[in-house]
Amino acid sequence: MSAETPSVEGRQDRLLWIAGLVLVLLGLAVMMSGIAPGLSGPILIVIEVGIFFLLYALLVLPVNVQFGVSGLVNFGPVLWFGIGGYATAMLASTGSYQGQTFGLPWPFAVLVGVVLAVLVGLLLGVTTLQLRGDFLAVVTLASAEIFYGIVEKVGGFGGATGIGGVPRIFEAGSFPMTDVAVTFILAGIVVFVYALAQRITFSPYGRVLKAIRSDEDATEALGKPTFRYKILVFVYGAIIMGLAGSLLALYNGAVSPGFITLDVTVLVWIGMLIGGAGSNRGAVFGLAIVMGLQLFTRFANDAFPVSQSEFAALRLMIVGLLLVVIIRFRPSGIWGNPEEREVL
Amino acid sequence: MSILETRGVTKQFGGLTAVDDVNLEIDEGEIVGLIGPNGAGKTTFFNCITGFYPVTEGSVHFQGQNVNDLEPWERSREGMVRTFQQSRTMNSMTVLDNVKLTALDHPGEHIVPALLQSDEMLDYEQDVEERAYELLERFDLVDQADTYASQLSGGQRKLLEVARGMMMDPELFLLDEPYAGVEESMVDRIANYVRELNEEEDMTFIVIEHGLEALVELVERLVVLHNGAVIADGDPEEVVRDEQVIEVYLASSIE
Repeated sequence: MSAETPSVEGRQDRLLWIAGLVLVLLGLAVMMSGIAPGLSGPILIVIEVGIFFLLYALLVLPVNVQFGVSGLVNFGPVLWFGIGGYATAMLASTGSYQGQTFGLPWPFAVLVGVVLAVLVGLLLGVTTLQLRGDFLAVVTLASAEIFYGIVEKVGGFGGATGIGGVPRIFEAGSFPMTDVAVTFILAGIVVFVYALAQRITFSPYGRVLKAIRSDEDATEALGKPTFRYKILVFVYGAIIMGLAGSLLALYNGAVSPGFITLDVTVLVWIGMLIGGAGSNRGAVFGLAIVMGLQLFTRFANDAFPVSQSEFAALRLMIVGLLLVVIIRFRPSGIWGNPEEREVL
Repeated sequence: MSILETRGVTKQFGGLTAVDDVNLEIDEGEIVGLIGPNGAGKTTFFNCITGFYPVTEGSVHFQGQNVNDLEPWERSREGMVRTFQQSRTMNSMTVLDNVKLTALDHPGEHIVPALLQSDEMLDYEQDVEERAYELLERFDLVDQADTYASQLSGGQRKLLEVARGMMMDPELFLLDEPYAGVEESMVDRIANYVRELNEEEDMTFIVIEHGLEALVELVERLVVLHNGAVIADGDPEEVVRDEQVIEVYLASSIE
């Protein structure tokens, strides 16, 4: 009798926690050492894309637990990213060219950002989760767009320029070293969140989530308060995604509408679907593939006699083609389990 | 002592009365068949009992307690477990996980123990797994433990629904058309399981079937629904010879 343990494989799990800790410590060490070697341009570009990959990984993991594991279609991860980012930026900024700022200590700003994200998650959850899945998709998508419209148009949010003057808490000896330190620290956080997502997915808790994905009414008939589970999955996702937004503000020193466009949601979803919804590893690796492709094509542009905007369109076509190929030949994604894919 | 009592249970959808003033008392340890032609309101009645539909009028009492205000998941925890007309196994989960899922009061179904992987949760899971294998053994599904439920035959899915229901130690088991779409030999097996659980564990059953004769051998008492109302209730042999019942069934077969 082969029996799958409820826990994540113990050894891998322990390695993850150690790796996460080492990465965070490495980042802190880079920050404190004050070393300041110069780095060449291309490497800086790679690091910068890497940082955004790590920030978006903090979106794709919760989205995967929400959709891949629990079957909830959240088309608005960027909403929580934006709430965390703007709340933290406005509260912590010591003076922005435009928009309302408060100059409060940053840990407090992060806390408020996460709490606001949770409140919005609760509000959307309570009002929509009782409806069918596709309504949830529309509401989350629309909410993210509305939030974008608000911060861009309503006074106090800094308009198109956004909010600047946010304390950069990851400052190291030099500008490139700051990016290196941020990369290590974010990578550590992503590893922690990945470990948590794995533990949820393979625990009895995750079993209930998978049952809800498979058949919500039957799950309720089997004694599970499905509505409560769905709300909580929304809330936990909001915590991580809000935190990702806060980290963006504190790394970047500013937030603006350009950081919270629909493109972020699309990127996260395409990454997850290519990698395989339902698999945490697939979601992260899928995102890496899509962003790696973007990075590669950024350099490849030099070799082609087309303008940057034309090349951007080409890049989108390549990503689109990749998605079509995956859906055609491996609909459950590269790392996804075909037997666990629900036909919607 | 009655385990389930419905008092004037009525369910209306707009102008349509699907369940019409049903007063039914089921005693502990009974096996009751619930039959009626298509659209008689059998499944709707089940949905009213189990809380999937709020009743328009009347009340449902389970083990002496009015359960009108309890959600479906709360009612099933009280010991009232149902199956569905179309098998509702979790097809993207393994057979073993389908059964383990229904364990009650699992600490691992709360977020903190799940994230911390507490010893309490791991120990509980161990027990749940042992119990799940016992049930799979009993219902002859142990060889399929690690396969996905989507791979099972129609009959095996019915058995899996019963097995996972058993994990909840029900007092009252409501089976909605357990014979639908399964082969002859499986019908006998399912009937045998029902008898066995009734005799050995004193479990009460309400079984829905469509056909007039389908339940005569299994049940001790047959209730006939027609247009949402009870038109006969009693000894199966007598009920199937009841003129009104025969008329109703003939009329529906002519339609």
